[in-house]
Amino acid sequence: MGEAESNGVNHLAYPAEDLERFTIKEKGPNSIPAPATSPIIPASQATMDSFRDVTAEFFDASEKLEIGQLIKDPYFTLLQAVGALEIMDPKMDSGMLLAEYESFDALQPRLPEEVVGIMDQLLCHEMAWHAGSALSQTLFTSLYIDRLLSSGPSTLAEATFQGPHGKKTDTPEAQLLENVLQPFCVGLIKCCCHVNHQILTEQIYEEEDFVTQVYGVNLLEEVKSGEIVALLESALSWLEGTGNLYSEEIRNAFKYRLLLRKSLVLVFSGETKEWSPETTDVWVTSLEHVKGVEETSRVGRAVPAAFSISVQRKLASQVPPRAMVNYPFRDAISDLMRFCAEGKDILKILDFEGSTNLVNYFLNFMTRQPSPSPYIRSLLQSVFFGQVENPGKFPIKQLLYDDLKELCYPADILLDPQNDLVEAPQDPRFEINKRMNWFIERAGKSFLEFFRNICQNRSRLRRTLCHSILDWDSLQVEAEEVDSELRQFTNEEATMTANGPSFAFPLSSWVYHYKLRQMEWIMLLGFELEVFQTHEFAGMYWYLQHYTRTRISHIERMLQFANRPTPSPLLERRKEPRSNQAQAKSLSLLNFYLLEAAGVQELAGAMISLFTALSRLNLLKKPPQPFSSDALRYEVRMKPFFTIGCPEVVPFEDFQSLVGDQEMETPELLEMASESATDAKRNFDQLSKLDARIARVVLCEERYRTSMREMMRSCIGVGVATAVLSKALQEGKASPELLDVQIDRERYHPSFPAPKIVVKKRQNLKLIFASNTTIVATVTIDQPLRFNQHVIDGWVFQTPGNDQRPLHQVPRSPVGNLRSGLQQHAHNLHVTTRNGDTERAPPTTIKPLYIGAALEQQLHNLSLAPRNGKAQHRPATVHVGPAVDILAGIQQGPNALHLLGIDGGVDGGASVHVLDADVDAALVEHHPHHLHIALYSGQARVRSRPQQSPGETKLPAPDGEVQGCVADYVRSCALAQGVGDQILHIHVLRLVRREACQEGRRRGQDCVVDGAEVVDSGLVCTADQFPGEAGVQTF
Amino acid sequence: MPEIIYTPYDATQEPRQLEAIRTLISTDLSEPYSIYVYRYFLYQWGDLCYMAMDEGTMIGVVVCKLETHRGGPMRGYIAMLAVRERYRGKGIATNLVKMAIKAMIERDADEVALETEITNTAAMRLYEGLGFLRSKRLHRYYLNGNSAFRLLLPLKSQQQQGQRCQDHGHDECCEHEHEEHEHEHESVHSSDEYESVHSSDV
Repeated sequence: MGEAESNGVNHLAYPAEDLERFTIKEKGPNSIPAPATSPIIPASQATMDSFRDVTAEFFDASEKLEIGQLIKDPYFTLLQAVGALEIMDPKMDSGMLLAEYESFDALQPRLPEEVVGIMDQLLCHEMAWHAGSALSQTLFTSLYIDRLLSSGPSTLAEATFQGPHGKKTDTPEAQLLENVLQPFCVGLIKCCCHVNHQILTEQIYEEEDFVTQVYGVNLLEEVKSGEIVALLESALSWLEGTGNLYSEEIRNAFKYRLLLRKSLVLVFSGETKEWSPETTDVWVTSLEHVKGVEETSRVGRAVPAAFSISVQRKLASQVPPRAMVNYPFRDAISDLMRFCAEGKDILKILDFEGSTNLVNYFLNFMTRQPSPSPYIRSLLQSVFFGQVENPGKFPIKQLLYDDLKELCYPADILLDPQNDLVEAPQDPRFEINKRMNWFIERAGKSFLEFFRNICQNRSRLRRTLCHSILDWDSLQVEAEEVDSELRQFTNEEATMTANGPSFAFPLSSWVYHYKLRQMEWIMLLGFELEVFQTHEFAGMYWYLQHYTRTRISHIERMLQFANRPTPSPLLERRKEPRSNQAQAKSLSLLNFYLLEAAGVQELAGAMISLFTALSRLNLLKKPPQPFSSDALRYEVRMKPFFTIGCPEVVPFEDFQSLVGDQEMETPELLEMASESATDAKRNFDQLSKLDARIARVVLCEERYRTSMREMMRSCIGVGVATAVLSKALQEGKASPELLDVQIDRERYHPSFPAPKIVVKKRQNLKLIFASNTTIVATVTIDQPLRFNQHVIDGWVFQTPGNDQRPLHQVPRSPVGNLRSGLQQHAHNLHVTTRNGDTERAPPTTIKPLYIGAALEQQLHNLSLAPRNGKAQHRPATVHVGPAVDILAGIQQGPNALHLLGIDGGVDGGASVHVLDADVDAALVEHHPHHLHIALYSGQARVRSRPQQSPGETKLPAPDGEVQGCVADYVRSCALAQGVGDQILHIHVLRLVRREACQEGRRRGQDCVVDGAEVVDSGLVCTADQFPGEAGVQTF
Repeated sequence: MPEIIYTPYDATQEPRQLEAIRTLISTDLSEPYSIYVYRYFLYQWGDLCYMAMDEGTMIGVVVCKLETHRGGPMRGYIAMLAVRERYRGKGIATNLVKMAIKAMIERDADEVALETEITNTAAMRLYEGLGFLRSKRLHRYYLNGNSAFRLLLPLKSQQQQGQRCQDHGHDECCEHEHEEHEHEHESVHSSDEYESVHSSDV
């Protein structure tokens, strides 16, 4: 390889026979057949005698290599390199794990509470697997499951907890395990078996959506589901017979878990082909039992010892040991509830309500949040294809004709079922039939693929659409040709259109409409998936609008043809006029599409104008981008569309000037944005009120209305942003110094996130230094957005001027991006962490909308209220624990406090508590007179920190943990050490940037430190750290 | 802080440097790479590897490759990037990446690609600040279940690339991308590599 040689590395080429010198002369049964030249002994003949120790030879040979030389098979790929493991490396070699399963006694007595706990943990693992984690990190970590499966049972009788040499005990505890936990586990395993089969039946991306890998373990394939249902039923009767052995609560807990398992076995083993809209009972029953499980989960007691990743040691896999997935019970329950509801919902498609309704069902189903699980998406495909394929309810011909008829209202003769009967080749209908059959074959394939594509995850859908539009583009060309041919046989007469006489082109019109919709979806998904960055928004909305407008003209054209009175001249035998009902249906659909497309077109227009205005006013930050060019990036962005014949990609220069619209003044642009948003809102308002039949959402009305409401909210959001910007512009205040723009994805339609334009309050912030209750100094910080800072314990941010509040009040968080405020008294600490737009709240009841975490401490009593926006207020007492919404975790000892919140799945350091994903991290370590806190946001990972000795007064180290603040991700770090109760020694490592300090301005008595690097080793920050400013203010 | 020295990888210093590179990168990985991964890159594309040194200690490294991507464009790939924790936030990662990109440009790269975790805003700022574009989103790309963005930096237009194809008698590259084996590099780009790479220093 050229690069390698230029690096002075010789690539050693070696003939195949040389390989043998380095090969142990033994090959496994599955190895690739050895080349004829290689004298490798086949495995069957290999005996120990044929082994030769080549270690010495090997080291001897490797000694002869120069530094930088490498012997490498030319076909050794990166994949192989990445897949390679180093034996005996504890992080790579799962064989290094202790074989905990060997000493595990599955019949060791367990408390009933523990059995419930184990069952619930298994449910968590099951749902984690459904959500995309591997079995090796979830269910297979269960030592009970391992015990059941490790002997490779092929019958139910073999699947027991009994060890090979275990003796049978009849204690109540052992009976409980055998009669409840064991059937439960067997049922669970069978569920997995069915789920795996289902997933493999349809198109779901392996490793991306779901991991079907079973590592060679047989999931009771041979055992019939009926036997397992019977087993679970006998478990339930055993439970009945236990009388008062268990409390009612415990008995109910067992009952619901067994009932749920039984009904899940029934759900998963169901034959999708036999389902009907009425067979929803299994799902309904399951859902009821899930509720029962949730209600009784309180009695469970966790048994961590029943799970171990050591099982990975013996799984047939070539991956390093991987951590057990910790899936919260609350998530598992809500997943399962949604799962049952969606499983029931998809059966609606069996009521065939016409093709358009069906397409809309698929589209709306996949916009659900959170996304339907891989299993449900697979099931939807099975239910659908079960109906399409013979002897289905809606075969592809019917589906396609129905769709074609409703959208294009083609001449009757094209779809006449009588055509099939014509055998005379000279009959025009024979020719028509030939061509329509071609269409069913060709377009039918694309159409079915289209349904399958919608069932993929959203990222995959966008990528697939980028490819499938090419197929639809060529289909369109082919269909156009066939349309022209068909005219000879239908004797279609030209219709006058705005562009002169023209023909209907029904087949290609249908194709074109679907192609354009898919092109629009690629753009819409670009916003939804955040593939587009904000500085691209104007241009990308321009393209969305471009495609929507093209479709609008196409719909108008189709309307014209659908509207014409067309007694077909050929059909002289059939005198009756064309069905008015079918025509009315087409016209209604086309008019609906027109209304919908017009709404999108207007809203996209509003977005273009607004984002263009924002970038003109420098309110959207475009990164510097020293490499490449906008023209090249445009090529990448538009790559999927370059080969599309119609509509074509616009040349870059034209695109720039079209989007930039330099001729239009910014106020005019905003006026346009405002008008478009109003018009769009009117459309969506109308759409949201339409009858479900008109909107063709008979099967998914609720989701449709939600989506329309989201669109309306986006229109309103854009309207508000436009108004704020217009006003600022009029007042000469539309500048990045005074306005802040954020993209708000939460409240709007995912494809139309409205910008939030906030007037930066000239909130001058005060840093107040306090010793015990005496305020020593006040410093005001101006322009907080530019402010990189550390929040120092004992320092408080306050709004100045007339808005001064007493110290004990928690200050308003200074700015949009500042996340923390901190206040401390000698033995009394209050921390609030939040983002900017929170309201002020007293420390004991901190409850703002977007609070990341709130921490409060009184003497040795600590409380933490971590939350995100949705979380409820938590009690003022200590709150510990992992949960979806928890942003931080806390641990408290008698005189010590440790708080650590980490971003996803991070290992914890010493004496810290590791918690959940999406953490805005915070670290607090506290000793009676000794506290340090680091609050992080963004991607920071918190490491355990060195212990501070009480006498020391320096921050741990000038390392990455403490320094490096970014405006958007302000991190704060604080160290305070109380000496006695009187004085706090504060050490400021680096307050803010020095260069910014020079811009500091003085306001009244306040010292402005609009950015200043203050490296302080003294005790108290005094005026001399803020040169030229009398920054000390005594209250 | 003393000055950071940037230096290209030197194959003759392999015994010392390889170990340092490996230590630096594996620190942030939950699953370490085997030695073969490092050798794979360094042996073939050692000239695209740059290191940042502080008084003789390696504190940052970028590891890349450059080869034709499925018979099409000459694609550079940034495989690993790591900066020692306490040196982060100084623009060291940005400098390393810039050097790697320049080296790829000199070697006639058509584009540079990589994947990054969608939650890794620091990495995205770094790369987008240099001119990379998010070309697609990859669902559950990482072992931790997080999705990725494929970032792409185009260095030549399709036409220029087409010229190359004609010269070499290939025409696949002018066609659309077909289904990719996206997971090929799955674990090569750690989700953690860029943590604490600070945008303010980009």
